[in-house]
Amino acid sequence: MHHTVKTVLMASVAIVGLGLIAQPAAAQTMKELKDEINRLMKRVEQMEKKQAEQDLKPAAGGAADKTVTSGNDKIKLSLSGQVNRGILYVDNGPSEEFFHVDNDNSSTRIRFIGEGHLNEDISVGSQIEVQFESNSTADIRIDQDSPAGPNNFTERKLEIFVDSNQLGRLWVGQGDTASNGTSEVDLSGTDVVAYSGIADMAGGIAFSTSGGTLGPRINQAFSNFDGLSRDDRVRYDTPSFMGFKASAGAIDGGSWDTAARFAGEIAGTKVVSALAYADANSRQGFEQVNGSVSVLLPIGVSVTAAAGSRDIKGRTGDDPMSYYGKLGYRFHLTDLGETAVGVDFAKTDDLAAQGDEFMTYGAFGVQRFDAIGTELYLAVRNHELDRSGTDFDDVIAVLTGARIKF
Amino acid sequence: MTMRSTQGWRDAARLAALATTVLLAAACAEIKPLDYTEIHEIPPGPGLLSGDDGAFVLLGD
Repeated sequence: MHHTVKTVLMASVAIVGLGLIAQPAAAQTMKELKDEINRLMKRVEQMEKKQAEQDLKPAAGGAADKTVTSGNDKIKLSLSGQVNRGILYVDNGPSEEFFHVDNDNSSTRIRFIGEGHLNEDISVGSQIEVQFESNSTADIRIDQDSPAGPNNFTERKLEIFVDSNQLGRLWVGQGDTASNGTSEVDLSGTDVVAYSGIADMAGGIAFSTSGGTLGPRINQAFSNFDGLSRDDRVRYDTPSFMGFKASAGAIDGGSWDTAARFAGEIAGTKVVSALAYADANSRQGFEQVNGSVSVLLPIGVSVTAAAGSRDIKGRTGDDPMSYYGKLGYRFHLTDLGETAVGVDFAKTDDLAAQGDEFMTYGAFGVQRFDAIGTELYLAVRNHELDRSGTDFDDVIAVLTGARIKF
Repeated sequence: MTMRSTQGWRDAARLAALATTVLLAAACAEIKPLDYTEIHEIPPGPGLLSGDDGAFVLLGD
């Protein structure tokens, strides 16, 4: 195309030149003629240079306008992540402390997802998700001298999958076990700071007597018995039918689990629920049954409940048991984003020791700012542990911070 | 497993039966599938830098 421009401009130069020559000699000196030709030649060079630059640019929206390129046009690679930082205040009776924390309810992380389509039904994909928690709320100690946790990325998901609309999905690698998350369904909109896994808020803090004798940590006295977490496994999910889906998995070391899930909307009311059984006798030495349900009414009120029990191999006495309940409300105070508030209660018996009764209750709120992918949150929680013969002080925790999705 | 332990499993079984009943009742009603994101996932929605997509698409559409 730049040849065309050059030709047109050269013709213009010639015409102008001829025109100038045709003028009366008295009006046009040879010097003026040369100056005009030089000016037009410079103009030609400028336009040629501009045209060449335009020729190097790809079409708008084309794949070549991205820094990373691929020869395969049937794949997709995406990067996402979040930073979730806050300030945590803890008082366990004899001691109180402020911590700068990474909120383990939803840790700081990055994620790569690669997907490709074999045909209209079958796709394959891979996922790499790693977290980087400096001073995780789940790991801090009241008397620590330096931030808790490893100063590096740690694994969450390193897996591949094959997905078929008709046959379901098969997962292989490090990722969610079939039962993971089955105690934790939640439609309250407050899970970034409070859900059934209440030990994510200050789980490493130990109970203490008024004299300073330390007892079990919160995450030793409490569990929501939520399946088998993330692990190296093979997992199969059925296709979803009327909102129902079943899963089963075999985990490295001989454990296995199975789960059923439902997610649907009935007359404007949203319902999610899950139920799981896990046999981890071969490696962790327990069997477990657990489940949860969450209902969000059209008026914004939500009710969430969870329960679980663990049969620990070789242990005499009562099996540990846990219950959780939450009442929430989602509404719009501002056009900037949704506001969600709630209160909850949880109880775990006989986990750290036979006869233990752990109880916690909390209140919390989350304000979303949709345009900037940000949630601000505040939570207050009290933790109690009753143990025969020992009088532990309550542990009070206050957490405020922000999760920013980038 | 003690008597209390057995009671615990009975409670769990009751919970399972209740959940199953709720699910079956739901199955009889008109159900619209709900796209639910588990709480430990990066939440859907826009991102501060990635905009409405909530993710940077490095390759593909």
